Amino acid sequence: MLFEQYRDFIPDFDSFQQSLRKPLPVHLRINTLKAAPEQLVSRLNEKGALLEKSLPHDETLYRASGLEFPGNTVEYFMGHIHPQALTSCLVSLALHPTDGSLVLDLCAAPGGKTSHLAQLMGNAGLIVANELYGNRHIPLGNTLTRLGVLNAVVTAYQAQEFPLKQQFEFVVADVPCSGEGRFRKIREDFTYRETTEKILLPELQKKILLRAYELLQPGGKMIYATCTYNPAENEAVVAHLLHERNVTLFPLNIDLASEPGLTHWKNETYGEELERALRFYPHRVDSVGFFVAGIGKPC
Amino acid sequence: MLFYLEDRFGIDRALFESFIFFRKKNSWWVSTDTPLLAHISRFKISRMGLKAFQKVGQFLKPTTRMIQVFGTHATKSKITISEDDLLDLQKGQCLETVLGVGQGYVILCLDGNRILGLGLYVNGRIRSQISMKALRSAMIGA
Repeated sequence: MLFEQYRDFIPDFDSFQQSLRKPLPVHLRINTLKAAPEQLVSRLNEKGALLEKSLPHDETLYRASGLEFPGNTVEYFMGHIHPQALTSCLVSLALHPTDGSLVLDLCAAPGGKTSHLAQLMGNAGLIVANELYGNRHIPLGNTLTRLGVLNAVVTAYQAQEFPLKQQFEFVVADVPCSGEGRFRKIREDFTYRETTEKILLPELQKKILLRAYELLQPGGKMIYATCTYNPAENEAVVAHLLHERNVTLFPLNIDLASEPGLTHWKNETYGEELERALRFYPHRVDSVGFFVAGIGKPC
Repeated sequence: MLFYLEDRFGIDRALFESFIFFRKKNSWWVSTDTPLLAHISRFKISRMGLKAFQKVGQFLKPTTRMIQVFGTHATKSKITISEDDLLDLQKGQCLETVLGVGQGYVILCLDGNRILGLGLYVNGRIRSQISMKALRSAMIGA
């Protein structure tokens, strides 16, 4: 059975298993840098799509039924919509940078979160969107351009070695991960495999998170996020930072079904503070499995 | 550039006071102007803002994406087309129309103020200046 090793902490494990056999639904973010949500929702509904709000108090996030390929619409071309997993949008919402702030997105491609940050900032302030790999700069640049982002610059440093020349008010560390939360067993021949690279990820994630913390200015806020269930890539990484630095985890107010982070698993103890992190499971949110922790740096 | 945008499209140049333009080879880019830019001057930047103008021959042509952002403020040389017209443009056809403006670029909108990009108006015909590849893939699901 898939992800059997997580049976002891994923609630309602049978429903979780069933959810992995369903295709991921289409979720859209309306780009308010270019479009007004109310009019756009009416237009897409007229075209036969059924848009339902994903979060009760957010006018920009929708689940879109009857719109199988949102990338093949004129609304996509005009940059009015961006297909983005609902849970992925939670990162920017949880951080919610202020208009004129200086923000660092350490692992920015393909640009969904960077553009969402720009949207929340109303294209004011400045975002440094960092992405090491040159081939990933193409989709990153395309996303930022299509969505009309004007307050971002792109850099190409290794995240764990990002230069310590400047501290930031807000940092996003949406790190490379095993991507378990994205896995769906839509066909019988689909199966999830561990690879050597994935086993090495926690060490890389710890390095990136430590560097992200060094780049955060006193009083600043940071989000650590992955799209995996694996505690070794989630709680263990945050616990490592808690052990190494003077860190506080701030509570995340997200109006979506979630579970608290794990305080321990198997023989590992992560600490009570990890309860402030949030885990999102596909059978509860009908989106990608996700982990989010809000980290603050004391003044 | 700003004179052209104001003269041709009626986009008030004051709109650009909070933006900076800079040149990169044969193109001009636009970015939000903020004192925070001084904070990142020691980083190696590979890209900033979005491409606003591209040099075509002796002329600076506004880009589709720049027009999509700022074209909502245009007061002239702006025409509304239907999605059927858009399909014709996507096929490479021209739209025949008489406009009360001189020859040159016009902003193409879908019903209301939804900016698609630019068309080139010459001799009573509008030819799309939008990337055909991008437009074709967009129109698959139109």
